[in-house]
Amino acid sequence: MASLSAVTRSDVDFEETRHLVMLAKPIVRRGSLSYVRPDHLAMRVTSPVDETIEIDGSRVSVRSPSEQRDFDLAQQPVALAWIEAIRASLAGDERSLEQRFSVGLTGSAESWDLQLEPIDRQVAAALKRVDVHGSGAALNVIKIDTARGDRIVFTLSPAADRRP
Amino acid sequence: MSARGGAVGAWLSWGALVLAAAIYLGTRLRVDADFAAFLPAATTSQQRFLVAQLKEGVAGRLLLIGLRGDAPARLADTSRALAHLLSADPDFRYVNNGELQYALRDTEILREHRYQLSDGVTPERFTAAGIRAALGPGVESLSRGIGLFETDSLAEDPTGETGRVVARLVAGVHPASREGVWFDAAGGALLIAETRATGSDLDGQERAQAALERAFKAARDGSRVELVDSSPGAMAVQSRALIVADASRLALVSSLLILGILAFVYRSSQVVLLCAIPALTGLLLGAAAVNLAFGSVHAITLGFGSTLLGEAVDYPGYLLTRIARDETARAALARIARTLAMAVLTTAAAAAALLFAGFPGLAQLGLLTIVGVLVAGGVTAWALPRWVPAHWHPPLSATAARSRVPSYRRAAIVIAGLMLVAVFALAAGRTWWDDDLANLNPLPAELKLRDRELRSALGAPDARWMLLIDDVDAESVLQSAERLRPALEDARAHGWLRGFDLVSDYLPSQAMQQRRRSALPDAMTLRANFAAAARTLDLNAEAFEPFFAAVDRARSAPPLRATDLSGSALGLREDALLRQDDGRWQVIVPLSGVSDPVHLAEALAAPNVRWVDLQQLSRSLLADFRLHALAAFAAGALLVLFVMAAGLRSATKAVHTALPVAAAIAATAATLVAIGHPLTVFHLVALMLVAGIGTNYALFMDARTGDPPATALRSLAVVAGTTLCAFATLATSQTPVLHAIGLTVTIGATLCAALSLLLLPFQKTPVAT
Repeated sequence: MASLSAVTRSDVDFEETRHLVMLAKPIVRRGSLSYVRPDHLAMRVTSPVDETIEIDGSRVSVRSPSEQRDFDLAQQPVALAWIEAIRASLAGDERSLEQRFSVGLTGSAESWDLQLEPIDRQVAAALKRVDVHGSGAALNVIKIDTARGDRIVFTLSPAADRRP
Repeated sequence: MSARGGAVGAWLSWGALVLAAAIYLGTRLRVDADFAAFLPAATTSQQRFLVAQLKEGVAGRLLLIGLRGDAPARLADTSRALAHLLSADPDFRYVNNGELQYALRDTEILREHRYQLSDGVTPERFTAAGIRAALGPGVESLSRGIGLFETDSLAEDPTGETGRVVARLVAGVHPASREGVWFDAAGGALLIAETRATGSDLDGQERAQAALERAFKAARDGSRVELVDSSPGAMAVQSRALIVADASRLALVSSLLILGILAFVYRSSQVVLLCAIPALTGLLLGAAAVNLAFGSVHAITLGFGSTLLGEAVDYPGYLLTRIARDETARAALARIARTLAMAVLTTAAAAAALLFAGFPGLAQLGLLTIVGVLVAGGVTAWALPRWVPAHWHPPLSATAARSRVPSYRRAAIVIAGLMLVAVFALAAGRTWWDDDLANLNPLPAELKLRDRELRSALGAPDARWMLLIDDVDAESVLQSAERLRPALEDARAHGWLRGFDLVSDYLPSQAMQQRRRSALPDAMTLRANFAAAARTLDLNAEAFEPFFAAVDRARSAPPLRATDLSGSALGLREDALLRQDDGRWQVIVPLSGVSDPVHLAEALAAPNVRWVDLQQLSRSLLADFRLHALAAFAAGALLVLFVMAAGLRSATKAVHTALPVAAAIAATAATLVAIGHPLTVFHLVALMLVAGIGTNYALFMDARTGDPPATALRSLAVVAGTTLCAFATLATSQTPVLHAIGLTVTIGATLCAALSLLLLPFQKTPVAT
């Protein structure tokens, strides 16, 4: 985990699977994810539809061929918490994680697991836990569980254009 | 009683009187700034509506705030901090900058009552096809964006009724959001706040203004952010401040000028100081009398009253300038006593007419003037002769002045006559009356422009146009409002207006709520219909239990009432927009961004819907006031004639004496109109003062006082000179009110003096008294 904090920029491909209690079948989305220190996160979705989500601090902009939305999550601690879980994990920013979550770390430097549980009660009422699995300086899986039973799984792999 | 003993006794009695009045005013004086006192006791429903709107309406409380001059992120931060501070400030009862938290209670109410409020609630909406159509966009959004919390409400409100209600409420009204707060197109952040004080409570508005500036200083936090704000209240506060500052500055200048003249004429500081005493005593006791009779003194009464008492400043002049060499002040008084009494009584008679004009404000003004001139006259007659130093007389001897009147008098009369004809001819084709309050507004055009810009950017209601729906009870008037909605929507589609605030959108009629309730299917039907829709959309019907429960609750819920809205911005709006008046119920519909009033008025015409033009309404009120005031002045003029006829013991002489005054007043009015100043209510009050002053000129130019013509001339020169100094200074003011009064009196006093000189036979041998 500590080795992550040396990262100033990371670009990975992702596959996101949304298991939502409302839906009979999961939604699968693919694309690339890039993080630039300290707090810029960009998600470029290419499948099933094109969409770009950029996050700077608490400001979010969503761009797709059909819509364009900007909003601020400063007043929405739940959404902010789960964005921070991803961003701080990518950044290896333990201090930021510890501000919002009770952090558990197991495994070895080669294969580690991070368990995050929200400290804030309001956040915990909506966001149950976030589990991160990594190997060395790479993140492999981010699993998010919500209180109402939704689960979102991000599987990350080195960016296609950088693969050896 | 020796002369000295008399002086001491007079000082003591006067001192006791003034002290008593000062103590009374110091403990009991209530200055009231509610300008409705100067509106007629409103009779028609429309007029009552206007008065209520002006006094308490939301428009008067609304503070429009813009933040500019820095990067958007800084502006947004400042907006957040400022909104936070203002929402905690007791001077404000509502604030919104577009952040979600300020609409939280409102959103909660809308969500809770969505099935009573949404116009989407129809029987078709809850069939399988209806649910599928309504759910489509929501399900689609599950695969977009961050995805988790944006669709939080889908399980509870799958058909999106809350969103529908919110969208309808903010349509065309709210500005665009950036960085989570409102921004205008030019890149400035926007906020609105509602003051707790009403728009007509200027002190309260001043406090709110100060609180806003304090909060802004704290919120800007050293950045380059600038504050621009506007509100009817703030504009009134600023215009009051401008008037007060201007008036004090000019009063200082004119006081110095007058002191100079008096010092030159009297050459005695003691005598100069004595000149101020009668009028000041009159003002003090007059204010005390008004406070005693009415329970409070209106700020305008004080302002206008001290103008009208300008006449009393002349009383000492008439006495002092006429003390001859080797004559005591008492002997001089004996000669002019009758004339002085007439001067006082004519003014009191004219003011008495104001008592019955039908406006509390005018009645106060009348009482203040009556008491004021009686006291000033009394002090001049009773105390002044005792206070004037023994053996003092005006040092410029009477013989030094010319003792013969000009021999070209006839020619002068002809020339003056021709000039008057010319003035009337010039004035004939022009507008005589100006009933537009806005023209009296002393604020620079830049401030008015800023108000328009902020109002348009925030979609705040237009201060001028609104609709008034009227019916027998609350239920009927709400139903009428609902019937009007399609026409309003249509007008918005045409671009004739940008938005409207219809109270029935958040407090629907009972009938409408009943209709919506009966459109909701029972639990079995709903589940069956939903299951059918869910299959085609790949949904888990079990996840939508909250929806089934909510619909079931709504089917048996009591109807939404006004009390359900309390504690929210919606509640404040409902409270202001649904009101009872004289046994009828009214819905007020504020309109914003009205661009085509003609088409709009046509399209919205309905039997119980009235198109209100507040500007037109205030004009008609003002015109009403003018008519009443004119009638009072005419009655006052008749009373003055009676007093003069009695005093002069001849009706012919009374008419003869009144003639130059009447001519001067008419000529003053015509001159003002001819030089492009249509008459306002302020000109009218000033003309009343001219009448008072002019009557005195005419009375004292009459031969009865037994003074040589040169003394009479000198007397006129001194009193007219001081009056002109005071009011010509006022006429230089940039403030419309002060300028109007100053200009009117300057022209009027000049004409009165000139016409009295020309028309009155003061040079004749004195009549023995």
